[in-house]
Amino acid sequence: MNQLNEKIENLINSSKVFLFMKGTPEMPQCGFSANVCAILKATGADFKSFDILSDSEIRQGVKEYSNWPTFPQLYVNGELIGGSDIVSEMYNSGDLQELLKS
Amino acid sequence: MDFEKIKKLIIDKMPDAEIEITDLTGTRDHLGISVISKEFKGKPLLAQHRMIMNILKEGLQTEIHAVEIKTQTK
Repeated sequence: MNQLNEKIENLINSSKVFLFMKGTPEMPQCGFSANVCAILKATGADFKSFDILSDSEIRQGVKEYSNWPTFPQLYVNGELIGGSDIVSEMYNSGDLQELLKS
Repeated sequence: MDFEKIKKLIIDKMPDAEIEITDLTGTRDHLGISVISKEFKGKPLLAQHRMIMNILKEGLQTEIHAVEIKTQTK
């Protein structure tokens, strides 16, 4: 595994709930990133995040790592769950809360 | 972006699909695409979205960024 992928995996595994986003939870730089942060906060889940705008290598690397072209990307237990639309839908159905408890 | 072209791309791969495309911003570049099909049955949402993304990516030869996908099983 190359160094970049190793760095990305280390980030994803640094927390049960991990978010690659534009900006920070305190200051999101995109409406979709802000939405996912708001939902995570509403669930009370602890999460870590990485600002992909701060590092173009990671930004490109994550897209390739996950084969998913857009941000934000939410990971739970090391697995990609989805972006803003999927997270919203799972929150509304209660599936997200179940997943975060697991 | 041509809505009919997008519909056709999806129908070609998923003949039973019921598709609705909405222009989210009035500028025809932020699209909402809703697809209902039996093919989604038993698949996680991410996998369902990947199916649609892959169809769009292949057919339009470009990455779609401003698209909100909604999938449902029949």
